[in-house]
Amino acid sequence: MTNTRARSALLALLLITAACGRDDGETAPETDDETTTTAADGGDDGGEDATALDAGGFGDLEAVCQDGDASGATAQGVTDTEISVATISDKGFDGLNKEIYDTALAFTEWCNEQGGILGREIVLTDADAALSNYEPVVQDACERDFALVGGGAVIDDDVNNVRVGCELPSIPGYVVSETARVADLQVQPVPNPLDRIGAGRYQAAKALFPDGIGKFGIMTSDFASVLFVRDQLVNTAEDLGFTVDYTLNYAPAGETGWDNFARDIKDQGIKILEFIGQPANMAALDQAFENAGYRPDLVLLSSNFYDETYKAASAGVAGRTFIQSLYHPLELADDSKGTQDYLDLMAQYNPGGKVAQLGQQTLSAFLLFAQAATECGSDLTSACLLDAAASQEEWTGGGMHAPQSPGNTEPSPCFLVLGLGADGFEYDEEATRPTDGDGLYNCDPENVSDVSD
Amino acid sequence: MDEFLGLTVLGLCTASVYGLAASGLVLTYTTTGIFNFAHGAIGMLGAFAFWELHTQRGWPIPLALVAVLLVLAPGLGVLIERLIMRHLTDAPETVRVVVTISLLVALLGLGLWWWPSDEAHPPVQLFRGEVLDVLGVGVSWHRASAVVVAIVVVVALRGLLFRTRVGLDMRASVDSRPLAMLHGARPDRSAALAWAIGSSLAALAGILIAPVATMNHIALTIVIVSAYAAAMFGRLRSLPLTIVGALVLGLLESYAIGYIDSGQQYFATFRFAIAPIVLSIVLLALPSALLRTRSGLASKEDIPRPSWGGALATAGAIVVASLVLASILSNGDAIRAAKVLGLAMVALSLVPLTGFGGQVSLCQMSFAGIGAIVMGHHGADGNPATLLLVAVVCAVAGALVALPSLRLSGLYLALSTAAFAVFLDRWGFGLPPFDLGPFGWGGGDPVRVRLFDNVLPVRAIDVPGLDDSGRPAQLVVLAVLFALLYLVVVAVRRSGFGERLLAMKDSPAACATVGINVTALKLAVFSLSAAIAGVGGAVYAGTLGSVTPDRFSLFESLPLLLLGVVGGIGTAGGALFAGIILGGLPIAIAVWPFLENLNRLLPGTMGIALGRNPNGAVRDIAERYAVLRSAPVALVGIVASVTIAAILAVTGSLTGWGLTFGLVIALVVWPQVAEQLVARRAPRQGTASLEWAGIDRPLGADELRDIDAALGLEAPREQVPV
Repeated sequence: MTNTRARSALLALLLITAACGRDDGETAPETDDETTTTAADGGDDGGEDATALDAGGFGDLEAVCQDGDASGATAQGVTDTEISVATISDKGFDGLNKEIYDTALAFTEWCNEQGGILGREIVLTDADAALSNYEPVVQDACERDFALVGGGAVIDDDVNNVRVGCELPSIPGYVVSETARVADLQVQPVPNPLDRIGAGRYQAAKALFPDGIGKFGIMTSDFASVLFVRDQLVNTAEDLGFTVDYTLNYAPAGETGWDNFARDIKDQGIKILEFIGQPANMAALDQAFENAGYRPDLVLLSSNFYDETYKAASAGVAGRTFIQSLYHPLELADDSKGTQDYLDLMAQYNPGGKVAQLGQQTLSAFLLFAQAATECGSDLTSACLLDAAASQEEWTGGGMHAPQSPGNTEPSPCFLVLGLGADGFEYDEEATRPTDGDGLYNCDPENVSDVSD
Repeated sequence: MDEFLGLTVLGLCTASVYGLAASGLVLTYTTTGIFNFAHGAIGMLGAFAFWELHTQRGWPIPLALVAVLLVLAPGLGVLIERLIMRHLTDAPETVRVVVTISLLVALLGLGLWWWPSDEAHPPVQLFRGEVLDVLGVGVSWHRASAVVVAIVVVVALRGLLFRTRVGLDMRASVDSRPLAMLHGARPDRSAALAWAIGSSLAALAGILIAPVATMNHIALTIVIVSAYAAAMFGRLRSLPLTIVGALVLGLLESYAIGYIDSGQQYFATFRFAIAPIVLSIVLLALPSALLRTRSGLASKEDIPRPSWGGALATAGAIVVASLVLASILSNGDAIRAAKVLGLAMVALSLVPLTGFGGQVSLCQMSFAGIGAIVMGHHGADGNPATLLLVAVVCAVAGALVALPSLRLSGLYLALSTAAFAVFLDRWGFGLPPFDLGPFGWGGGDPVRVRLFDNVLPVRAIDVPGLDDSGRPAQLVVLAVLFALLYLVVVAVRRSGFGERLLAMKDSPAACATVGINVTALKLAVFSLSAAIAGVGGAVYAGTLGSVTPDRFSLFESLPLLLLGVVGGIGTAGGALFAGIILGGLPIAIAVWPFLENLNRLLPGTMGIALGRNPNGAVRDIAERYAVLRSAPVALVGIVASVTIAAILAVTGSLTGWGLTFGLVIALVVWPQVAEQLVARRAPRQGTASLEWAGIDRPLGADELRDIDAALGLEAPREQVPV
């Protein structure tokens, strides 16, 4: 409904809570150079490239989708010829996160063209929760599908315990609520646990702006779930030696106090500012800094700012900015076959679809699903799928992102820093301090901080 | 001192924008007597149109400004006046309020359709990059220009109203339209001019506030609440006092930003509650004499008095229908249908309040939100007994809201309830847990009050002993609850209380004269209505699983009210209608995506059409079905279709939405067939049977026209809706 649009501002923020936690990690082995995927296995074999998109491969993965003779109605939604899956999104709410379904559609088209999962075609259902229909779409899937793959809903609190109740496995694109983040029968390709925070950007800030750690401020919207994240971040920053001088809550929609905030920040002499919220709001603050004639030395942002809106509004205006991300930047797709394959996949199989980082996360989930389902073959059951997915190590989604340990609890410590220059987003090598040789990521285990509520 | 100076300068900039918006509001009100709730939405469209012309089409800023402020916005204003407002001159206050609210909702839908919110719209800065130094405070030229513009506009407006002939006409026509006409004024022209200038000012305010409030549809629309408050300072008439109001608000908000500790968890965003609080205080302080809004024509609504037999049959039919649906719908679809019932219950709460009592409330979803909170914290097991607690808490809340509003009616009551809704939206509902008390007697521990705490999980109602592991049971439980609430409303309608409410709606003054305690009556009906809304909110939240505060915002209440009124606010049918449109359209969109933009515009346009049909759509439909009685073939046809569909459904050959839509088509087609049959039998009941008009058929506008024609009378210029 028209009237429900008020929510989009608020709820996009919920996403950020997911985005913030996303870079968490602990001591995953970071020895490898697999994070850069330019010279992936497939390349060395010579001859026909088994990782090529049109050979059923993706990024550095071989045989993601291929013809075969897997058979048997081994579970609900699985037949000799088909596997039914559903992808949850909120696209019915003003196209919120529509990249999720756009990507799911492209993947399915492509995969089925390659022969499906060992000969079984993927039948994709659009489970559009449109923000308020999470339970009904899960109920529908309970009666129809083999699994939920690649999706996510902003409001995904399953208080009625529907999905686990009907034993529907899930390989989600993202999860938000506390119940969803620790839910059973679920393997997250990019884990987002509750009790650890990826603090890579703080380490980077500390290294490059040592003077600033005594003058640190943090601005969040006054949406309560974001405040929860804010408190976690404040604790983390303080643990790392920052002095949190300034915290401010702004209204996610309709805030008019930006000039006042900028003056406040100027008066307090804040040197490093972390901003949590929507790009349009940061753009307003950027303008207010201009008016006040003051700008903190550094602004820290989460990966949701890697976004066209922010680029359009603040490129050329923003000062030094660290956007923490764990995805290989789209701007550098030339260096990563996985990232380039993502762009090609979208261009070829869903040209009108939206290209965005959350779409890559959906794709990572689908790739993980395809790998696991292929491993299970004719024994494709819920248990087999989840086991096979969770046993993938150093999962990079074919090279789209830093290595992960799929599941609910074992995140990777890697991150990279993007800045916003006059022409758009740029990889900031100086700030990232990559630990993996010629790779892009910093995978120092120190990047991860424990947080207690 | 420095800080104070800085806050003052920035506050003045904001105040200027409020002043601009508020003076446009005052201008239209003084000239046409219509308070334009859609003022903010026009400003939003203006800001987006400016963005479109400048950023997308590359027009230079001055040209784009001229196009928006001198062509597009005034054009929209004139269009609104011609197509909609002109027909409202004699409409009851409720209808006027609902129509302008519908316009707001429709324009908001239009904005979201043309400029989808998932695309980037970086706001346009006038004088980009140039900063003015005012007493050591850096202010962008964009913001500073607002002050200059506001001063110029206010002086010019004052001059227009008091120094020119046109202004005299404008002021005269609102006092007495016929008298002004007798003196040669042309009220229609004044009204069109007022709407043109008003819309232009709204657009100007929108463009000026956009870089500050960001290009967010809702944010730009809601900034106007501050303008409402400012306009109320001037009692909707005085421009100078309106400017004072704007200054007070702008400065208060600015000081609140500066002096309330920004990290403070309870009051950090209290500044957003300032406008609604100021609005409430101003409304309270207005002398009563001013509160008698123009009564317009006597109410033309007809509130039927259902018999107990009929009411029980209806309630039974609702339950039986839910049983049938429960047996054929899948789990997911059953929840979607249950959601419709939850919303319908909240809409039902408007029947006694607005339908019987004639009180407009824009905060029913706020009561629903309170109900959801109580249910979320005290009904963890889904125990239906919690609903009693919900009803009690919400009844108390309803009484509290009603207390300050008791002297108010019509427009002012609408504003007062809107203020309450915004107060909760923008501040109250978002509060973290806090302690109240300890309360007097016996000391004891303070009461811990918890509200939404982010996302509030709410359990679905779980009737003990009933296996509702499957969701369809939930649908039946809600249908029973809806039927019970419906019977409560019928009982109210049939009681002396109900008669007094209707009397109050017709004439509060007459009521007081015959000794009815209008104050107690208002208090009682507000409590009852809030209790029903709260119960509805509690079960609605249960069907959603988890809820956030914004589900219970002002912008949720508006369509509910206007759809309820469109459906026919005097009956439960109207409430169901509202629930079905609000809860059902999203389902239809899932099936037919092209409906999405229709969905954005539908509620608003329906409300706008209301001026023509005050009894609501449901009554209309009922009349359409009455024709079936004269066409036995069609009657047999419709019964047969429904029976066949039911058999097919039970045997499983026809399921889900296919069945639903098939039924809908059958229900739509047969009355049409019947109409054709009847029309063929008696080609046209022309003048021959005019004497039977009003006896064998309702006396409608057509009949009146025919009678007038037969009597040789000229039809009045504007047909009064009957």
